[in-house]
Amino acid sequence: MVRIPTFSVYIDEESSRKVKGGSHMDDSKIITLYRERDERAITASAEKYGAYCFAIAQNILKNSEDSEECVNDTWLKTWNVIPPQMPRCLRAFLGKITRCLAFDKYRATTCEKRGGTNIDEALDTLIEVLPETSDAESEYEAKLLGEALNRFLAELPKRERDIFLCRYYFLYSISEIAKKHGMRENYVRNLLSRTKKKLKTYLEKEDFVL
Amino acid sequence: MKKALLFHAFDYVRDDFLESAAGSMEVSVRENINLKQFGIIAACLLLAIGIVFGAMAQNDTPELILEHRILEKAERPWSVGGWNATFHDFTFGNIYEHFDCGSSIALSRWTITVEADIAEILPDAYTDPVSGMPYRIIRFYVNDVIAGENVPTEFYFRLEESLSCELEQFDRFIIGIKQVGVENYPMYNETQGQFEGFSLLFETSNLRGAEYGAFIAFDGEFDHGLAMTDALWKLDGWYDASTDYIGEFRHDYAVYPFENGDSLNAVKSKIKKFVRENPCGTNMRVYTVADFHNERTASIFDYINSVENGIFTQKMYRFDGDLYLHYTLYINGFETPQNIELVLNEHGNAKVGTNRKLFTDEDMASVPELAPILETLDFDAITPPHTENIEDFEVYSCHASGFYARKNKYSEMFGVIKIRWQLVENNAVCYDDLYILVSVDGTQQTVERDQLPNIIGENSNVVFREYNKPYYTLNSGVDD
Repeated sequence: MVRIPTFSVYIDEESSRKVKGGSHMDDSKIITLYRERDERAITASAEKYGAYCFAIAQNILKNSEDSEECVNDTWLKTWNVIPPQMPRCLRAFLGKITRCLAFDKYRATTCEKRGGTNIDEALDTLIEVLPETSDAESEYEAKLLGEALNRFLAELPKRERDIFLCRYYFLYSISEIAKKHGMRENYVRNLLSRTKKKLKTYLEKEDFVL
Repeated sequence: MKKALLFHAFDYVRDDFLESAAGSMEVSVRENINLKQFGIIAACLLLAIGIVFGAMAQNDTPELILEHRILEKAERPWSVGGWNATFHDFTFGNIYEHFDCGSSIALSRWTITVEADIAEILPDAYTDPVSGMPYRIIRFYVNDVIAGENVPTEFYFRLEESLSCELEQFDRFIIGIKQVGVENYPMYNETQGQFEGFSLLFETSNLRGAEYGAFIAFDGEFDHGLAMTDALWKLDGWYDASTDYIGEFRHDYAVYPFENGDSLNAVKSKIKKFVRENPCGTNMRVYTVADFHNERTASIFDYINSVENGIFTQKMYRFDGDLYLHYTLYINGFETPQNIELVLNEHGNAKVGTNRKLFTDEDMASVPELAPILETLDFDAITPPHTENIEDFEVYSCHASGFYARKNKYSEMFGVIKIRWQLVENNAVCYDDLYILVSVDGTQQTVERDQLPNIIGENSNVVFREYNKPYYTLNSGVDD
């Protein structure tokens, strides 16, 4: 008689997808430190969002030293603007500062001549969706376009919106986006192409003029 | 310049949009567990026992976790006489069971309907390990839930290979989905030669009637049904045509009322209206059972796991909102009438529906061996005993099988060899059969089918078809 073993079950929690979370200081506490002019605010910001800000800068500058410098400048600028500003979302706030600083550095240095950076690759393709406009770059026009972008993005499905912003705001490469989202590069490329077409149609439909 | 303008325009993007996008780059797609691979099997029985536990309130819906993993399994080759099989015991973490709870009249294809995008098409070829049917597996991301509740944001979907096409050309899909099995349904990866488990694996079994709306693709506007009768989509008033085509409207053939050329939004709102007017149980609930180990059910599972000389296969199915776990005892790979049924309801109550214990461990150790008998059967020497003018017939099929039987726990145990023929004359197929009772001491005797209920009790393996009666004609499509 062949003895047939019984079946057993085990639980493997490690194999579940993990959602990233942190054990860092709460954002509200960090902002309070800024408000109270406690320099621990900078340490806490760096601990929690240093890598995030570095990634944003690096995507634009492609240079570690310059990116680190941008990140350090981010803490300084944040120190100077909080208060009076009280950001509701600290990560987005810091990210925007880093992004602007990195872009300024990008324009100021010889980066522009290098070409082939993420910023060139990304924005060169997106520019074509913009309507004809004067070359003047004013804060007002940027705001108008930004508001139109928000209305457009609000209509997109979440995933499509995420990928669009990963590409054109955070300036991640297509392969990085595909890898992180578990998709093929071709699929990401096609998705972005479709989203750009939609944006173009949207701006035309809104009669968007700068 | 334009580039700078564009760059700075993004400064005004909403923080919550940026948060979401940043978050999407932080969660990695989990990599496959690198486990030892197993070879291709000749025949297999899949023994998948998932134990549901956890005590959660009915309204407290936990996160539905999408997983794709290589299944770690123990392979138990079983070979007795000329009969070979391989048992595959899958072990996997199984915290929650997920399935759609349709009503009893319709395990409906449309009770959960989603608008989805393709996230990934898995490159390998898969087959269902039970049916052998080939599939492609696609990971879909849910953009919108058109009907249903507690639907996951992502799911795996299996699409019959015969219906596959270049899906990337389409923008959007609307799919009526039905879960395949429960969590960690195993599919065989033909390319890699391994079993892989998919949590939240769905299909729509109405694909052959995809013109009925179970799987439709959009490219700007509704235009493609992935159907075998593609022309149906193009008809004006195709909804009426489809309804006529399937005759009387049945709930298990959902015909979505939309038109060729409808926009995505129009299709969605029509489906929502249709589902509202034809309610059929739309919840996909996480099914957990509180007090799973109550006194009665705990002892059942203790018993099932303690049996040494046999093994229980499990069948799990839903009926009317309840979960049924049906266990059947197999000894030496042959079925017995010993079964246990547990009924678990959504309120966390578990009860024993049936507990038919016929064989003790000692009994199981002393049942007669059937495999050697099957192995040495000389089919050419056995004549179908009940068919008149047998010389006019050709043997279309001959099938021999074995099972154990016992009228009650006090009566004699028997092994039973059943031989069944399909015999053909002028394309008409008749049945014949022969039963051999095998006693514990190995004695064999042929018995008439009519005698069996008195000897071994009622048994589903004993089928009372009329002899000398044509049941179907060949090429009519009727299958036995």
